Amino acid sequence: MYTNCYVIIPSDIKSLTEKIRLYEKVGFQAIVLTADITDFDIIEEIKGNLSEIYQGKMEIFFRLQINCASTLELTQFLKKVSLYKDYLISVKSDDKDTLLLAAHDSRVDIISFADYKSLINLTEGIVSLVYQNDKFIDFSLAESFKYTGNKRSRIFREYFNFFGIIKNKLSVLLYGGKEDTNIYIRGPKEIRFILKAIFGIPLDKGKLILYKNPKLLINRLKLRNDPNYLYPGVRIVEDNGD
Amino acid sequence: MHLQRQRYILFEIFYPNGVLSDISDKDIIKSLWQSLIRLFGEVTAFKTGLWMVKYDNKLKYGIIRCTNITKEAVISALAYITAINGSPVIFHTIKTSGTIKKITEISRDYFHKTLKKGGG
Repeated sequence: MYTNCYVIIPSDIKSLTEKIRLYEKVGFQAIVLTADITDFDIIEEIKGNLSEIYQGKMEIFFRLQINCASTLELTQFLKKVSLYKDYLISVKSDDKDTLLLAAHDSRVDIISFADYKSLINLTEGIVSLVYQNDKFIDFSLAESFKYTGNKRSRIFREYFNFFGIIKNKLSVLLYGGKEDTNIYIRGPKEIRFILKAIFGIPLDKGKLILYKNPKLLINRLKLRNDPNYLYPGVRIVEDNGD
Repeated sequence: MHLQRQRYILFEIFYPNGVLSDISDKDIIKSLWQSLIRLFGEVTAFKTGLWMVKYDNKLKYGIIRCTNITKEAVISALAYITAINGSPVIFHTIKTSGTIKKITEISRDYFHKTLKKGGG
């Protein structure tokens, strides 16, 4: 299913309902509502009232983002992560050592580069570790919709360098819109064609980024919450009561 | 120069701020040309062979014709339009087709279903 892996939660419930409906209209079949790990109460409240906020076919998942500046901060946050089993965990940092540690850690699902300014922190080492450990990297094109001319060319150049570092490991990429206003929301079809026309990423790889990779991630989240699931690669099939 | 194959793009317009404003087909084509030229330059823009086949102001949808080699550029340029006449808009591409007959059928089915559901 076409999934937007980073949806900012607006301040009021009515705006959230309108935002979710707009994502549905433009063609997304699932979204991941994202909040900072320090705003856990807000996301819990939304989770509790989800049936009142939205009644429709779209699947909604939840994600907690850890914004940290050092490896020490990250380790302190990760100690509490076992409490958030039914959330996706993502890490955003400007420190490369922190990103490398996050890419190594089994509790982290996504390394976030959805903020345009953090794109320069990506290295081949991080991509390689993310690829080896079956994690994902998310990115957003929302910044390119805000400007035109020279500024937009520079933004495209940053994205071009970003995709150059990723190279052929597109199976690690996720699209996380991170649209701060509804004006910059675009559908999956438009994103695929933008990736093809501007960055030369083929349409089938675009579908991988927007459809297959999020599906893998969400299946992993569902499996994590399965009571018969022990750890990666091990699941109880039949319990004889021994 | 041999005849180029055409593609027909069915699109609809959303107003994210909920304020509907009167936008004509000329406004859309003008904005699309500007977006194309800014993104891909004049050399690609002339190759598109743009033509607004149909535009329904009431249901806020339209059909644009372009060449097959520039389809991706036209859809990307449509996506990069953020406002027309000062009103924020979102262009959503519903379907593309090689024949006008097929795209007209699709538009009829799609908007007939939308009207039946009572939403849009």
